[in-house]
Amino acid sequence: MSILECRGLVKRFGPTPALAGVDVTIEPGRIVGLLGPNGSGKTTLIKLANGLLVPTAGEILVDGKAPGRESHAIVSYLPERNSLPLWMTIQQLQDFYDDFFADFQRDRCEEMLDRLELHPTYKLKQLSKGNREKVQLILAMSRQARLYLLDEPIGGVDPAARDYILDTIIRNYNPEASVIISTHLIADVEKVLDEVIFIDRGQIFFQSSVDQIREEKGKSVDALFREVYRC
Amino acid sequence: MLRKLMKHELRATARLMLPLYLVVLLLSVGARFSTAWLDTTPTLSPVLEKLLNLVSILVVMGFVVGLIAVFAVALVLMIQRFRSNLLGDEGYVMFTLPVSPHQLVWSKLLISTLWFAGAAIVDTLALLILVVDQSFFRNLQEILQRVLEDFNSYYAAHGVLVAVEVILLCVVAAINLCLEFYAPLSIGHSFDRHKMLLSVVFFFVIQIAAQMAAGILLLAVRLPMNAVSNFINSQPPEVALHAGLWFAILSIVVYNAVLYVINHRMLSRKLNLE
Repeated sequence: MSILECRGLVKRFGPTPALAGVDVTIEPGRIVGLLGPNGSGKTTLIKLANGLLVPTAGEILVDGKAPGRESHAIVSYLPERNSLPLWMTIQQLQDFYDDFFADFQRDRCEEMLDRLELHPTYKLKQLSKGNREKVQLILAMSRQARLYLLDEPIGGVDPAARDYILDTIIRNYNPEASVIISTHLIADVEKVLDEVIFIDRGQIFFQSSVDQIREEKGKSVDALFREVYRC
Repeated sequence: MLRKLMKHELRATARLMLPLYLVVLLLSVGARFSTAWLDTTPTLSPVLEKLLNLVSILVVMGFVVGLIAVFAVALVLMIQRFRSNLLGDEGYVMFTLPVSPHQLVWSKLLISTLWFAGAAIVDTLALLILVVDQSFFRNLQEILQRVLEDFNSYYAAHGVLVAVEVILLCVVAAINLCLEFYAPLSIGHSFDRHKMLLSVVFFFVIQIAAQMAAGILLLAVRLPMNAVSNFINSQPPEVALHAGLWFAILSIVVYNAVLYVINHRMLSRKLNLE
């Protein structure tokens, strides 16, 4: 069974369609890049998969079920913005994840935090924006989830931090799980992707494996992206 | 999971409410000494006397503000927690937990009710600290016994039951206060723009609709008010009191159920976190 499936998925904000009939299937064990320019519908698709938005039409299924309590137990979500309460300490955030997610691996989380010298007593509001993003990523990647939905995980950080984040994703995800990374920074993520989905104006017009792009088109994903989305 | 949600909600709110309770209790002690000072005939220099008078007045004023502030802060915190923790950025975390919207809302309702109850207890304690003297504490047991006896003699043997009914009424009223804000916030935040403005608009729409619905309901059932009044007057006072309290409790419970259903439908079917 596919881990994520969209059938005729439509989401409108007022008269504007953010997604205009998306049909896509993602199989387990793949690292998928959801690629598109700003405003193409990437975040909307990820929010719909998390049940943070309700479809206008069509359906979206996570492991065969509509997003909800059951799917939340198997999906690890990294939002595009900081959504953790700033007053909490890193220790309290770990307690929070430990309480609610049966698949949260505290040892792994502590190890990653320790490597970045992010002490458990630090409050989130004391940290820089980049470090907050790292804490959020570490919490998300410390789960043994079946689907990781990472929305712009490298959007707001410097190139050195990008390498750290991608390394964290690769080293920590469950190999039987799928990872969907939404981004427009293709060159940085290309090396970790198995598959790409190109999205524009709420429609998916291209889905392929990275190897196939290189073999058939003789280009990198980044080069293909620049060609497709040339202004 | 509800227990865990309540634990985290308590942790998030206690950091503000507990220090506030403590400040009010300290202010009540300060106010007691201040009033005692203001009642004495001073033997100090006029400047020092004026200064101490000013400080005493300020402490008493601070105490009065504190009494109001515990309720005001509990109210603002109740609204702010629902808006920021569920409908703001933190909602990205809360609505992706493996819990139901029912559990999310109940955790907030119960903890807010707890803080309202805490505010009532703290204000009562603060007033006691201000007014009672040592003899009150010496005679506390006797006073409590007399209060209970008077209560029971007036309301026949149902004094305890009346107390339970009043507490129940306070609890459903506190939940009603929360839901009267939660429902319009959920409706307003289901729109793409002007979320807060629309929340305020829907707050008033719901208030007006509830009053109209109550009026229409009274007209529709055509209760013969004189007959009802005669019936109540013909009953012993304790029966009329129980009937009145239960009518109030059940009316609020029905209104709460309507608000809860609206709120739940908006959070489960129209959630629009942007």
